[in-house]
Amino acid sequence: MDTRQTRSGFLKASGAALLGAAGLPGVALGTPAGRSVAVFAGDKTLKLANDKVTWKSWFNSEGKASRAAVGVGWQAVEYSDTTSYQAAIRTSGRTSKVPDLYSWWSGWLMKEIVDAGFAADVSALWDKHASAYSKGVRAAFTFNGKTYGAPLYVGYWAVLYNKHIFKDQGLKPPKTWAELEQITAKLKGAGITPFGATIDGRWPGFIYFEEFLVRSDPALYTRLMAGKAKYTDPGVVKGMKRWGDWIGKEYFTDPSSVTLGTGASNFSSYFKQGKVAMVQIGTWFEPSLAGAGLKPGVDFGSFIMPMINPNAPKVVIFESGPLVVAEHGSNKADAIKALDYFMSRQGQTAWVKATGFVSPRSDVRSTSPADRELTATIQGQGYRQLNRYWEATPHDIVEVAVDQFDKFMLKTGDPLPYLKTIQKQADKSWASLKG
Amino acid sequence: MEIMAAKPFERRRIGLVRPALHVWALTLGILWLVPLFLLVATPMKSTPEYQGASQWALPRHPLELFHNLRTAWSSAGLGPGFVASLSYGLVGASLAILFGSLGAYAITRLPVRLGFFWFILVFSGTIFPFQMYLIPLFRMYTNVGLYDTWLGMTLFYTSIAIPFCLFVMRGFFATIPGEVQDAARLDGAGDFRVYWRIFLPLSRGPIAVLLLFQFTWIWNDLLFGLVLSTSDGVRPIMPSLLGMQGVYANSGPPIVLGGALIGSLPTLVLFLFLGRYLLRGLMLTAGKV
Amino acid sequence: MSGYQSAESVRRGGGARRLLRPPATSGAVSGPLTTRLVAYLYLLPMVVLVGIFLLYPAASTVWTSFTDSTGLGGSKFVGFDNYVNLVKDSAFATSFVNTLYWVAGVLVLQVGLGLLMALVLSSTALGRLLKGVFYLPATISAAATGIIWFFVFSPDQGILNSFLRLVGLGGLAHSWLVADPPLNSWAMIVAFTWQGLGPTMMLFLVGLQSIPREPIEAALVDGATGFRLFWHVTLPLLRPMTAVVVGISLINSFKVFDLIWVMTQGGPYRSSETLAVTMYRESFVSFHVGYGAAVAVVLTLIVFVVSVFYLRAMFRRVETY
Repeated sequence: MDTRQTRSGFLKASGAALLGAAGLPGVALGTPAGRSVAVFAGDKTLKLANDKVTWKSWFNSEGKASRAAVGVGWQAVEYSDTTSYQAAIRTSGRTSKVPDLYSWWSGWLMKEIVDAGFAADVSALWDKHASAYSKGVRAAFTFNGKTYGAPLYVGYWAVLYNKHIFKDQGLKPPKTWAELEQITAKLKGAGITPFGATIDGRWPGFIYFEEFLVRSDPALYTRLMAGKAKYTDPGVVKGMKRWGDWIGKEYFTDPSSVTLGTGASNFSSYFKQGKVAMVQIGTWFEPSLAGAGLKPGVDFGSFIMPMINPNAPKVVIFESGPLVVAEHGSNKADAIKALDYFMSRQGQTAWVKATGFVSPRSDVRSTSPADRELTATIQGQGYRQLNRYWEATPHDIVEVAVDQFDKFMLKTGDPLPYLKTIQKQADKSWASLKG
Repeated sequence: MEIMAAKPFERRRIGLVRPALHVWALTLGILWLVPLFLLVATPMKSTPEYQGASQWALPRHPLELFHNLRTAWSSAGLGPGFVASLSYGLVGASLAILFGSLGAYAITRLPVRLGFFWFILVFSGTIFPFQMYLIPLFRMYTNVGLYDTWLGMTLFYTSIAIPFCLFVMRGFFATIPGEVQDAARLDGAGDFRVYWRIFLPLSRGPIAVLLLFQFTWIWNDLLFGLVLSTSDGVRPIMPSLLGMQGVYANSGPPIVLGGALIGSLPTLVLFLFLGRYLLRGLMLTAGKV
Repeated sequence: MSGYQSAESVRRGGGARRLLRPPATSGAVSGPLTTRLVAYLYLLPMVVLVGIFLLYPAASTVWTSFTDSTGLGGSKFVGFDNYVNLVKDSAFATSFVNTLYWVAGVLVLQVGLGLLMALVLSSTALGRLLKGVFYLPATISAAATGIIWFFVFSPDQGILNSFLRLVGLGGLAHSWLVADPPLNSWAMIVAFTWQGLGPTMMLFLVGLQSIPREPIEAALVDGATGFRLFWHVTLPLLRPMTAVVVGISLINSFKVFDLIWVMTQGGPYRSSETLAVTMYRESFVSFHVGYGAAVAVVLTLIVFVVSVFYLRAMFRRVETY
């Protein structure tokens, strides 16, 4: 390096930069560590983390209602992507930096955070509200006799369909699989993509795998989830082949360009424009369609996908997710207070009003006619409820499986190699769980 | 050293390929500008305008820029991330230069045994891929309460910048003639005084280069911010930008690119004003390998 | 500069020490021992910080790679299990192959194109302007680069696909980051080249300027022109700088993380992961921390082995000159 040059020319630049540096630490140290934790006169606003971007305004209005009612409310901190969100909660879970409240999933994913000691025991709240919640709901959140979290949502999985398209094409919601196949063929012939599908966010890969399996052999699905059947079982292969057949006929949207789910989603616009007629998804997706200007019951309706095997018992996929109080959060007592409000009749009424969801509380009525109809069908026709794939089987398997399903959606072909890869992980996971 | 002004040595060469090469260079140069056009032009469009026309279209209402920048700034923690990263960059780089130069001074000018050993020990901190640091750092941070704190981030950024600072300052101090120091000594100056009053002021050049490079490195870091922090105000700007991309990638590309523009401005400005020193810094990086 | 100056500084340091010691201690109140201890205080901050925040973690990762740690609570020693599982893991195999794509891509595109552009720019009047243009992307972060190129490659409205459709090549339009791996890796390598070309080109320009004129002029007199001149005269003379550029690019290409994480997160179905991404996913997404540590160690070993081979080859070549 040429020292003469360096000594002469650099004075101004480095001087200014150093001055800046010297002046700054005080300012920066004064930056509050958490923007959204602000204390107003007696009122407290907690952080509620979630991966449900489109629910933000609902979370915030419920948080405001909570603060008005019990002096403790919350503000939503949203993560756009499920993978990053899970990573964020798992990494901060045992520190005081964890969000005070966070949305999670039931089943194996919940067991994992309970085992790790990330979730606060809220059995006392469940005792308090015992009369309004069914024992079944409580059991889903109970591990080793203690209950963690409160149900943030309970939802069924159904086909949402565009009523205008159905009317234009002279179609009715199908009663049998054969009718559904006629509908898809007709729509395809009219240049309309029958079903929405995506791999965006990774997890949606399991949706149609699950449907094609439970529609033909629900018992096999249950055994598969419990590690008592293999992914290479002929029944599973058959389901995949049927799915692959539909993919080959282009019954699904291009999974690489459509986005669909709780994150940012462009599906609603395709659906609204009449380019896609149906989507198999959780009923929690309805408000996203409503947000795009589509009225439930008027612009879109719902039906449960008919059984492929008419002799099998009728089943519907069921999903529930908890709102969890962080065990190590710095405002644990306040968070429990806020959760108490959320579980109360007042809290659930406000939540259902904001979201249009079905409340697990028996004394709070759903506001959506589509949901009321669906609930009546499920109860009236004796549908059996099966836990969703994402929650029903160990998560190490799910993570490998959704990647394989995503790959299948893009490449299709012989399903066996995909299923073998999943089974390899299943063998490993079940062995380590038993051992 | 001033390459811009140097006379191209190949000018004598005559060939038919030359015009073709010029066209090729110009084409490539234009291609290189296209993504930058996207970075600057897209935030000047409203979201409906963006969705309604090709990305190539020129913005119709360029003042939309301020609206998009404001939305970006106030969403997904980008504003607090900007301030946090600014402080990490300035404080981290300054401390690293201070500690690195103190070490370099000791190794080159003070009666320290095994000077070369200390140099190699500290310098070996840069030879590992960053993935080697992540897991234990995360574990250590969560155990001692440094996770997601300003102090924790600053300590790490300072540490990771030190080895290169030591390397450069040691090289530079070695070029300062011993007589300079001896003269000061005769005037009764102590070791620290010689360092503070003579060596540091003589090193303005390398210090500027180091500030430029280390600030830029810290500013641009995504990985450590992702692993060691989570809340607004602590989380640096790049992880905030990543979070924002997920939220708005479908609903508002102009906002996301507005965020990317905010995240790029400081280093772009540094380049425009201090670009001449870049080459010097580049040569230092090259020397490191 | 490093080799020469390191040696010189050691020499000078020694010289300074001999000169300094008597005046430094004779008149002072404190004894020689204190002075010597005080000298170590200058080293203290840097050694402590680097020791705690860099060296200890690096050593600790090696240990973790031999455990079944999940990052939550206890872990037990499992010997080489994680490494054995790596070999059997098809996701790791994909990741490994992708890493090789990145190395090859960066060598060809970034180094090759960088050299070409340096040659072209050094002989054109446009050089001065174009240098700035090519360097500009290097001043923005990899994360911002990833975001920009995410939109360049976007299937519906992306600037690339709409250009292809415009010029009648709509058939080539693609969902670049999703469809047909390893195309997505190559798409990202292009984005990486966009960002990394400037510095590479600048270094080559410096190299070109430090070439002595005489051999070139002699070759011109002998009638060597164009490609022959470049291949037989310019390129050999440029070898020291080429060695440096190749070295930097090689090592950087092993470590790419930001760009991939922003653009594809290694997806779809883990098809665009590199070792750096796999390590992050296993450790901080799946919490297979022991396994992730093993990936980090393998990555480090590869970088070390490549560096050693590379340095040896470089020194051997330099000696022959």
